[in-house]
This record gives sequence, structure tokens and C-alpha cells, in this order.
Amino acid sequence: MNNKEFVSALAARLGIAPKEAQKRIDGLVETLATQLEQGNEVAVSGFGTFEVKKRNERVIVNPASGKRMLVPPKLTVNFKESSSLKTRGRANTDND
Amino acid sequence: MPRITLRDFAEAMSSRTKLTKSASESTLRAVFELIGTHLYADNYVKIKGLGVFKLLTVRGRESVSVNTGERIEIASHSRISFTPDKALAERINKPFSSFQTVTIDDSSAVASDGLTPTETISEAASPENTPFSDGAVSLSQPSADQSAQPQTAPSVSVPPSSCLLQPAYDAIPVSTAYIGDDEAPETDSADVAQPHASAEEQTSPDTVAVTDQLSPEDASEQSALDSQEDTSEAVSESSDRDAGIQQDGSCEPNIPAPSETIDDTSDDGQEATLSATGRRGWLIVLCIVLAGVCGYLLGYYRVFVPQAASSSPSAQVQKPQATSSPQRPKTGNLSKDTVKRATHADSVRLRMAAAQADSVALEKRKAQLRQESRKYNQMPSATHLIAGTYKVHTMKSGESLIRLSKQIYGSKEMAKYVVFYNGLSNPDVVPVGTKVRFPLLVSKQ
Repeated sequence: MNNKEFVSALAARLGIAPKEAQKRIDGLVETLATQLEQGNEVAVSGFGTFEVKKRNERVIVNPASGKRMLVPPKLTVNFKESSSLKTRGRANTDND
Repeated sequence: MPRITLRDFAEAMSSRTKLTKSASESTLRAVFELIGTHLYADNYVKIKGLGVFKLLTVRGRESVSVNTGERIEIASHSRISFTPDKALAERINKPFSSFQTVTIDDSSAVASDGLTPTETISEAASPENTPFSDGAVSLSQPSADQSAQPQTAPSVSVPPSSCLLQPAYDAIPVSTAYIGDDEAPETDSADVAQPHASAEEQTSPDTVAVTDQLSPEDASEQSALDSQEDTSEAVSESSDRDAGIQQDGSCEPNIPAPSETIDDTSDDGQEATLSATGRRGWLIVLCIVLAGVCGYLLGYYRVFVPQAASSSPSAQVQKPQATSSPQRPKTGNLSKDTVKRATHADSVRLRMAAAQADSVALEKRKAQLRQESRKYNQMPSATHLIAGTYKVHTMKSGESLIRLSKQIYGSKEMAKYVVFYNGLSNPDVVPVGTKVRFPLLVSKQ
């Protein structure tokens, strides 16, 4: 589901207007970003953890040119789901 | 890496958004609960500004239990993948944002050691630096093929807007113009930054040092050039300009200057200039034209699929496609065509009907097998049912149950049924000549 549907679902759940819901989501994302920038992990129980991971620089080979290249280190946002979410999922899905 | 719990997060959020703490907490909880629910309902949740959560299925695989060391099977399961939004990712990566991917120059052994741009410029100007001395890492340039700009190669942490990459453009026409060298600019452009900078000093040791690197006949040409008054002036003029560029840090390419100042260079020089840059331009134009032509032809073919429908454009197009156009008259009688010819829609309908018929038959057979399977012992907690023997196979040397089950069932996971059905104690070691019975399997639902 895309952003619009999510916002309307959230609005319905909280009993607020969709615009207000979007504002709240923006605030949430902003807070999350600030926390992550400071290097904190944000843990939401029953859902998962957002953390910042550093990926070290590494040597790759560009398949097109065959040249060896050095990819610089970078910081990425990583999400790790919690086990309760995993089990909840397994109960819901009906894969054969 | 301090951990922020939901409550702390709600506090931070409320201070930022001026919501009450309870409001922000309820929002938080609602948001993440919703993500979870909708993810399992829909496999995809996108939140603008945050990112995309996707539900992926991981295939089951065989593995070894960590504790006991015996073979276990990890069932196929689902996992949640999160891809952050671009803005968020950039924001998080800000401390490292100035880095770029660079090409590694394997020819030099010494790694660059964090030279700042100003340092490298003055180093480039000094005549002692030869192009082959140092600088392992050079910034990759999409334009020129060459990767060696050693004296202007800073460490990885050079801001992307550095103008040190430009010498490639400056260098190519100049090298050909000055030296009249038809060799690939790649090898000489590194050299050229040298004669450039050294020319401005106009001291003979420099030119000698430079000419050492060039072939002997070029050296004579170079000195011939230098001896001429106009050209030496031109040299100093353009090299001043170049030096100006290097010092300013502005990135105007110097291509017009050499060609206009050096009128008396040989035709070779000018032709070489044209070939170097003009050839590339021509290539690009050619590629675009080709792409356009291909797209046009494809478009026509797609849009005007041969049909019974009458229209002169399609009739005209069908000619090159060599379809049923010979049968169809160009004028008249097209609207009165009474024979119902098959259209594309019809063929699709037929195909779908066939597929449906197949699936109905398949379901019937599956139900049959499920009935049959009641007679046999089944594996506990399995996804498929055993309904008799499908095939008896004698094991040959080098065969494995897993590979055979992949051949017969199309999946390695079915090997466990074979093991169970045959009561094999050691599935890894099945002696050659054993008659293994491969069961008939049907899925449970």
C-alpha cells in the first residue's frame, strides 16, 4: 500500500483527519531521523529496531569496465524486525 | 549506540511536534502496528520520508544444526526488508557524503595520503614530479578512459566539485596541438600537464626533462615549436591561462585557446584535435540516431499489429513486415469483410480458456491423489502428501537424493519425502544399486 492509503488508514485508526495524520507521520519521521543522526538506535517493541550501520569501504570490480574501484565507507539506516513480528507474520501467511 | 525506547521516542516526538506525549505515543504505536498489519496483508508499505517496507519470502534451505551438527531444514519463511527513503539515507550519510567511488590505479604502489587540493596543485606545477611517481588513487572520470592523473590525485576525501578532474579536457587538445602526437591522448595527457606547467617557466632544463618523456622525433618538434617566437608566446599565453585555471580552481575547459593561438602548427595537430573530440561527438550523435530509428521501427511494429481492421497506414506498414498484406486489397471492400478473422483479443481468450481447462483438470487430479494418500503413512508436519510410488530408481555412482529430487520434483525440498518413504537411515550415503522409490506427491491444500 502506498503512502496515501497508509495515511488514510492511520487517520481512520486514530480518528483524526488525514492531513493531521500526515503531519504526525512527518513529525515521527523527523524525530526518527534526528535520533538516528545522533547515533541512537530506535527500538519499537513488537515491531523492530532502526539503527545506523557503518559499511566499510571495499574494493569492487566494475563489471562493465573491468576496473577495480574503491567504494567509500558510508552510513546506512538498517531495520531489524523483532521476533514477535516474525511469528505474527508466519501465523498470518498461508504459503503452501 | 544508545538505545531509544518507545517512550523516549514519544517524548522526543512530542517536544518536536508540539503534540501531547500521549498523542505522540498513540500515534507511534498506531503507525507501527499498521505497518505490520498492512505489510502482511499487502507485502508492501511505503511511507513518504521514511522508506519502503517489503515482505519477502526466503526459500527453505537445508542446513546444519548448530548444536547437534545434523542436517536440518530451515523452512521457507518471510522477512521484512526496509529500504530507506533517499532523503533520509542522504541525511544519515552526511558525515561521509563527500566521498566518491574512485578507480584504483594499480600501476602505482604508493597510496595517496590525504593531500589537499591546494597542495596537489603546487605539486603539479613543480617540475620534479613525474607522472609516474605517486598517487595511487585517482578520481574516476566518466569522460576520459584514462585513469592516471597521479599528481592531481588527492585522497578519497576530495569534495566532488574539485576542478582537478578537468586537466583531462585541457590536456587532450593541447598534447596533440603542441606535440603533434597522434598517440592516444590517454598516455600522454598525464605528461601534458607537465609540459604545460613547465612551459610557463620556459627554462631549458624543464623542457629537456619534458622531452625526455616524449619520443625523440617529438622532442625535435617540441623544441622547434619552442624556438618560434609566436608559438612560444602562444604557449606562455595559453599556459598562463591554464595556470590561471589551476590556481583559481575554476573549471573552464581550455579547448578553444590552443587551437586559436597555434595557427602555425602542422595540419596533424588540428586534425588530431578534431579527431579526438569530434570523433566522440559523432559517436554520440550516431548512437542517438540509431536509438531513435530502432524505437521508431519498434513502435510501428507494436502499434500496427496485423489485423483484419482496415486502415491505410497499417496496410502500408504491413508491407515491410511481410504479413498478410498481399491478400488484402488496398482500396475498397475492407469494411464489407464478412469473414470473422481471429483478432489478438480472440487469441488471448483462447489461451486463457485453455489454461483454465488445464487448471481444472489439474485440480481434479490433485483431489484424486489426496484421496489416495489416505492409504499411506504421511510425514508429520509436512506440506505435501504421499500418494503412492511414482518411480523406482536404482542408484548409480555419483547420484544424490537431492539432485534426483530436483530432477523429478523440481525441488530439493522434496528429498525429505523420499527419505521418509523409503525409511532411509542415512540419506547422505545411499549405496550404489539401491532401489529407491520416489513417491507421488501432492500438495496439501
